[in-house]
Amino acid sequence: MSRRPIYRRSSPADATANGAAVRANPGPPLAELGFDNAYRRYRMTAAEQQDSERRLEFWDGDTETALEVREGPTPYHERPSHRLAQLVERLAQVRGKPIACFGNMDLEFPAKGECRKRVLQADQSLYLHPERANLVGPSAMVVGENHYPDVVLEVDYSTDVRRAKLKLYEAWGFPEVWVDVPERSPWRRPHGITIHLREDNAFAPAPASRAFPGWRATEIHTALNEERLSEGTVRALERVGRILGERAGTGPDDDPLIRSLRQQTRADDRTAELQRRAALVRRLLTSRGVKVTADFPLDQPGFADADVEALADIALSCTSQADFAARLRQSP
Amino acid sequence: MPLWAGTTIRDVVMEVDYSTDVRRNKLKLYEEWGFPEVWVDVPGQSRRRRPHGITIYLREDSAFAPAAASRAFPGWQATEIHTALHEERLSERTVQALERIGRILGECAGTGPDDDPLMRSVRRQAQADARATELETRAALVRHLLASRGVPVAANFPLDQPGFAEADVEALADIALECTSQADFAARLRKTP
Repeated sequence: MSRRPIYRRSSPADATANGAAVRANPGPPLAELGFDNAYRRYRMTAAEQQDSERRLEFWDGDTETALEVREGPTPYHERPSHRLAQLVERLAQVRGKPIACFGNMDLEFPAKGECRKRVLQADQSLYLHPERANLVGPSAMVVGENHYPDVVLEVDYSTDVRRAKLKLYEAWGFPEVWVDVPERSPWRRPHGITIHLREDNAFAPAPASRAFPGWRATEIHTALNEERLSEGTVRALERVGRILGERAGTGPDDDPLIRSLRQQTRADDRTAELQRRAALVRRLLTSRGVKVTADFPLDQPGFADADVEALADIALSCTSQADFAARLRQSP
Repeated sequence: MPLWAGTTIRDVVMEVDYSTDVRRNKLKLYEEWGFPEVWVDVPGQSRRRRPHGITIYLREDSAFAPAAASRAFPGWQATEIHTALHEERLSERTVQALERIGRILGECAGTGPDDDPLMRSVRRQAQADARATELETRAALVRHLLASRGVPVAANFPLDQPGFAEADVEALADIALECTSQADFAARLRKTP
């Protein structure tokens, strides 16, 4: 039984784009979306979709049509989204607060009034504040019920997201979508990433991310496609991570692994500093003719906690090594 | 990854049994195709009735045998891996495991955290902070020694003096105890090897 198209731009979801009110609508009917031959179409009922774990680009509840990329996932297509997850993990370490990567989770426009459910899957979905995501399940975000991902990544390896999916992201109220054309894409389009930012309920291309402040499109594309982290990418990750950390009041020491490594570094430095201070004390004592043993005063109670001026005062006024130790114990 | 293309076979392959049972088919293929290590994870929210957890299959005499820990990631235990894959935030236990395994792998490869550019940068920042504090402390010591001998000294002296950052603390103390003025300290510091 065929049903008439029921999508109306006057049927919005009560959505907020992570704080800002958004007039979200389900977007044009499937027939008016530009899904081309890069996609394979087949029938999938609502019940089947509910239980499906297939990798879908789009599922249309009105026509019960599923669309998959015809070519299937290739390493060239998968790599940028995996790499983005790795980059964001590193960036989160500098920020000192986790960033959640949900991969190709379901992004759902719910049934409402005459509108039937529609589902998109992105290549990667990022939440800067996972605790606010309030997702119903481990892999589904519902427009109007959950926060939008702060960034959605689409990789155009054999497809052209601009023709169809981008229109849906725009209609559904997503705040920021990145479309990457990988270096090894067979497309004739220039390789690179385009950042689409929501401005007045429509997308506009931008040179840099808003969610990751100041992370430029050229830097992101390089980072997603280079073999190893370059110095330029490391600097960008640190720069953006620190900006995010300043906003959140966090820093690298709030990340448990970085904290542990930095504590190790500080412990090594502290040991070296104490040895230098001990050498100073021995030098001051010997310069005054006071006899002193080799490791003195490293093992003395209070030595590690005394400040260097107090150590110098005692070393310049004591009469012997034992007197130094006694005065050190009495120092506040 | 075509196995016939001369590429190196993967050290670890992971399969997630959410609604499937890899043991029935795919695991046999991995075994026959010569894969050295396969992890099969059954998530906590799995639809299957099998116990949640990860099973590590290691190649032993051309066949898979379950093992308590990874061989590719030496000593990373199955229970630790499963916990790490599913916990909301990195726990202390996971961090300890990652450090332990990472250091073992680093020792095998002759590498360490400083070979990772981001880790290196973050650690250098920590070291630079510590170094700045140390120099402040040394400068305070010099001022203290000079003041204790009645030598007038400016507030930031000798932080901005050439040679100060490179001089060892004993040399600084020697100069501070011998010099006649701030200018004399600076002059002697410049002559220090």
